[in-house]
Amino acid sequence: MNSRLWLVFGILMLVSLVSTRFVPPAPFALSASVAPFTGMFYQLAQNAKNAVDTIAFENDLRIENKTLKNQLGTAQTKLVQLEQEAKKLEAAAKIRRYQSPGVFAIASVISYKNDGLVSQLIVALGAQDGLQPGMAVTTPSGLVGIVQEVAPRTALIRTVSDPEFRVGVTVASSKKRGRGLGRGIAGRMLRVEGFKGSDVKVGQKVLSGGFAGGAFPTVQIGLIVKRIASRGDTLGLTLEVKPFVDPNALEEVFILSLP
Amino acid sequence: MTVKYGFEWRSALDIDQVLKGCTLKPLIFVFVIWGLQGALYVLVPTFAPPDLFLLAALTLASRVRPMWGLGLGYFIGLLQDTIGAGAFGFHAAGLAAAVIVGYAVRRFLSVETGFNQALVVLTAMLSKWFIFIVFNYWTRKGFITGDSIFKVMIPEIVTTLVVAPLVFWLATWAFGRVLNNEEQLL
Repeated sequence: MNSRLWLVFGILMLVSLVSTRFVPPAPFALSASVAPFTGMFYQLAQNAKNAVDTIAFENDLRIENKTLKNQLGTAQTKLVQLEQEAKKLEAAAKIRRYQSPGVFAIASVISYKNDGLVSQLIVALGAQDGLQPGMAVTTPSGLVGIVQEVAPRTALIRTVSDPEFRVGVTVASSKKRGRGLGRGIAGRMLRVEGFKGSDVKVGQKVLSGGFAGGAFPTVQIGLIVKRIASRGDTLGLTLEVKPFVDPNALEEVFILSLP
Repeated sequence: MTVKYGFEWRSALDIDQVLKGCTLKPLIFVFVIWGLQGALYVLVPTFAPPDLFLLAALTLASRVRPMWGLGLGYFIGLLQDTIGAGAFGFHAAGLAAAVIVGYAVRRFLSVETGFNQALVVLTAMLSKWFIFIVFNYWTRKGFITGDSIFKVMIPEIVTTLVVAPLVFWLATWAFGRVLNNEEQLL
C-alpha cells in the first residue's frame, strides 16, 4: 500500500479528532432530513414486530383461555358438589331440628324396587359404615322406611308402603291423640287399622310413633286420603295414608341412629 | 416470457434480466443496507445488530481503488454520524480505519475465500472499535464503557460476521465482482 493512502488516512483521523472534540454534533436539520427514510424502515420493522407480538399474544391468550375454561369446568363441578353437600347438610340440620337429633349418616340411593309386592331401596352404606337393621330412614319431607338388612357396603331399606312394613302412628291434630298400627299396601300407600281417636278427618297428617313396628321418632309420614269407620266403632277406624315421600324420586336418605 | 390473460407475464427469475445493465441495482443495495440497519434495531433489540454500514463500506471499497475506498468509508461513516446526530466524525474515523485495515489484510490474501473474507471483516471490526476507544478517550464523552465491550462490541462482531456473506452476495449482485490486488494497483 502506498504511503499516500496512509497520509490521507492520517489527515482524515486528524479531521475527525478535531471535529469530534470541537465541532458540535450534526445539526438536527440534517438528521431530520434523512429521518423520513430511516423512519419508514423503523416503522415497517416496528409494525412487523408488533404483528408478531400480537400473534404471539393471541396465541398466549388462546392457551390461557383453554386453561381457564378447564379450570372453570372443574370449579363448576366442585360448586355443584358443594351445593349438593350443602343441601345434604341443610336437610340433616332440618331433620335434627324437627325429627330426631340422632342423624347417623346420609346415604345415597342406589336403586329402588317396587313390583307391587315389595317396595325397597338399596343405599350405598352398609355394615362397615355402622348401619344396623332397625334404624329409621327418613328425609326432611317425611319418613322413608326402616333398615331391613345390611351388607358390608350396602343396606336394604323397607319403605313405608312395603307390605311388610309396620309402624305405630298417631294423627297430628286430633283432639285426642289416638294410636293405630300402619302397614304398607302394595307399594302404594300406608293403611292404618284399628285407629282409636276422635275428630280424625281426611287431609290430616299422620305421624310415626315409637310404640310399635320399630324405633321411630315422631316423623310425619303422609296425609290421610280416606277414612273408613267400622261398624259400632269398637274396632277403631281404618285410614288410608298417602306417604309424603315418593321412594322412586329419592337420591339421598338420612339414617337415624338407634335409640 | 409468456403471455397469459392478455398481458405480459414475467416470472420472478426474469427480474435479473430486467435489472441487468441499469443503475437500479446499486440503489437497491443502498436502500436495503440503510433500511435494514434501522429495522434491525427494532427486530433484534436484545442483541447488538450487525454493522451493515461497515460491511457496505468494506465491500464497496474492495471494488474501487484504495484512495476512493478510503474516502467512501469516511463518507459512509459521516452519513452514520449525521443519521445518529452523534459526535461528528466519530463513525467516520472508525469506518476509515476499518477500510484501510481491510485493504492491508486483503493485500496478503491472494484468493477471495469465505475464511479470508471473515478475516477481513474481523480485523476491520476490531480496527473500528480500536478507533472508537481512542476517540472515546479523546472526546471524554464516555460513549464506550467496560459494559459496552461485552454487551455491544462482541455481539456486534459476531452478528456482523454472520450476515457478512449475505451482504457480500448482495454487493456482487449490485456492483459486480470484487477487484483483485493487481487491478487495484496497490
